[in-house]
Amino acid sequence: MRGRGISSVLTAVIMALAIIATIAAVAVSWPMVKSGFDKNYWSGSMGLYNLRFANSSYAYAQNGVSGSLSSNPSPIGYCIAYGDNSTNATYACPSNTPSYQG
Amino acid sequence: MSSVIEEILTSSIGFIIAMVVLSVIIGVGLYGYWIYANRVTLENYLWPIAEVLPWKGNYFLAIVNTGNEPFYVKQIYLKGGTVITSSQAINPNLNWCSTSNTKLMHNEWWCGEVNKLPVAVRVCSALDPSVCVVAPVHGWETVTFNQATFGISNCPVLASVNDPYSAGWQVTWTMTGSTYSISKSVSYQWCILPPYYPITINFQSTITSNPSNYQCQISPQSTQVNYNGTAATQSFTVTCQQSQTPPPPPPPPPPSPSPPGGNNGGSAVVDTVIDAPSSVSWTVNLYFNSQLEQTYQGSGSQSYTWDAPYGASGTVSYQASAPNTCTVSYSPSQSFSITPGNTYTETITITCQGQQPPPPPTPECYFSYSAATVPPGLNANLQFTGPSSLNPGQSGGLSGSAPQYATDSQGDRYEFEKWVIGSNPNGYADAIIYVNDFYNGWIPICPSNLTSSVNVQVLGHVLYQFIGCVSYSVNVTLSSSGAGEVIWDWCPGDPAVSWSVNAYGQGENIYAQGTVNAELSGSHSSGYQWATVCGTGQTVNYEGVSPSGGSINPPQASGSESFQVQFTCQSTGGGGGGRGPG
Repeated sequence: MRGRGISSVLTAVIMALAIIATIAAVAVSWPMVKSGFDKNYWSGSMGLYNLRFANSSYAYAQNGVSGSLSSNPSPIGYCIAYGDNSTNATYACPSNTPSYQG
Repeated sequence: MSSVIEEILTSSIGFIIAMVVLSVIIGVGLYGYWIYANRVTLENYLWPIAEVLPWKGNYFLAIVNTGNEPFYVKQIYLKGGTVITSSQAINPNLNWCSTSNTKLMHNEWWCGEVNKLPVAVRVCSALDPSVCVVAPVHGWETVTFNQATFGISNCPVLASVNDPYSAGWQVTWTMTGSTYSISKSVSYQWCILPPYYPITINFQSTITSNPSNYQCQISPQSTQVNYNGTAATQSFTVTCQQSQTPPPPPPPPPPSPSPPGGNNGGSAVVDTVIDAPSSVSWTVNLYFNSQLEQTYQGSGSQSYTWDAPYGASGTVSYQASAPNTCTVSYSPSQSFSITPGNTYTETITITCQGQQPPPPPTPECYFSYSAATVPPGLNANLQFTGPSSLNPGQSGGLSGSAPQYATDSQGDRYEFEKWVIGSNPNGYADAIIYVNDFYNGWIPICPSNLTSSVNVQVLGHVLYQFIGCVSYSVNVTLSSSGAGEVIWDWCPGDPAVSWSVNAYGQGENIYAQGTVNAELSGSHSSGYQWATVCGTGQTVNYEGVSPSGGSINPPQASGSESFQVQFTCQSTGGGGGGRGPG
């Protein structure tokens, strides 16, 4: 009789601990899972981030960000660019392939 | 001893000890997992972007924090395996980034120069320096512009007016449904930027004013230029003839007493002397018998001579205008009578006191704006505005709005491609903009070395690309012999390139469906058409269709293709059936 009582309490306590552990694990995991989704979204948006040039002295980035090119590197949104004020412009953007692949 | 251990393990105390141990294990496990999850979470929110440009023989590396978690730039990995710290990079001395500030908040930049190609950077969280990520360095691209910086030397359509007589003229031209004009009284040339080619530009020209004693014409008065991509010129020439001179004078009348200054001629001569300070501008009108005969404009002291019509007598009067701070006096009087053969002198004195006349106005650029779609006439609500005037050295303020999609009068669909902006005269607003809505752009530009005011037309052409017809019609006909046709019909902008037919038999019927592939929009299918091909008590035995499809060469927006469904009819009771066509 005594053994059966202990066994019942043991089962209840283990179940309670399991439930608590599960809830705690989920609660701890959720920010991590969400951060993973956020990072994926950020990576996707950066993968499309590029410049569009109106001419050799002006360019548009995403979300309406735009700026003039100068002979020194300058940021346009999250891109950096410079131009020679006539025919060429050099730029780097988050959507460009990594430098070691170039 | 063993009984004591057994008692501990099996009694209530043992149970409690076991639960405590279990709780501790779970707690420690959860704590460890919490630590791990926090690190991963923090790591996931470190969002550095690193980019490199070749610059001055070195590599310009820039790192921006695009996230909200601050981080430090710790290490830079160079090609070849070298690893340097951020402080070992050379400071490029730019005002928008810093080499010394390695702690980057949201949207802050770090930059530095390195002598080898950087391939990756390592940044560590400012909240927990042990949490780091390695980010690749994005490489660079170079674009070369071969687009319009049109000047007179490489102008697509160069128009000019040769006006040696300084007659007033106006030239208007029409292209893409819009009309533009320019008016001047000097020789002039300007550049016209057609938005595309081939295109026809229609010109009209006219004389708006003649110099005194001249009658002028401009030619050609109407012409057109067909621009096909090769530079074209259109010249206009102003020619003038002296107005018809009066008939030769009759013999002089017998001499009569004349006032001092008599010229013994057949007409009166009126000399007008205007005496004014050099900085004062004035206008003097000379009337003869209340008719305006001469207008003199100038500044400072000037003198003019006017010959009255031959044999005419009457009253000469003057009306002078000068700045408000000046007074005008007429000597001998503001009006007097003249008779032929005499010479008269009128002196108009302009005296200014106190406030000096205002300096001549500063030259300005005056802008007007017009926009049109290309192809012309699309149903698109365009807005294109900017500053009406700018002072020399100023720029900016251009805004434009065009819908992403538009339709033509048939309902066929177009999608925005770009704005092509030019100006007339050229050089005040030149741009190609790939966004349909833009605000407060960097053009137009009023050059800082402007010497006289200029009227500039800013022309915005919104280029649209055809994307599809308003509707696509595909039909199938099918006869009881199994012969059929696939018929399609839609707009020419998206011609069909291939077709196919799918058929089958069921019961006593055959069924066919046609599919036509268009160049831009892909496949379009008809519904199933059916025909009864077998008699009562028979079922169709479908054997195929010939041809089952093919290419359409050349592509056609409307047409038809024939096919034949092959089948046999078979008696339901197992008896022989009739043979179908084919």
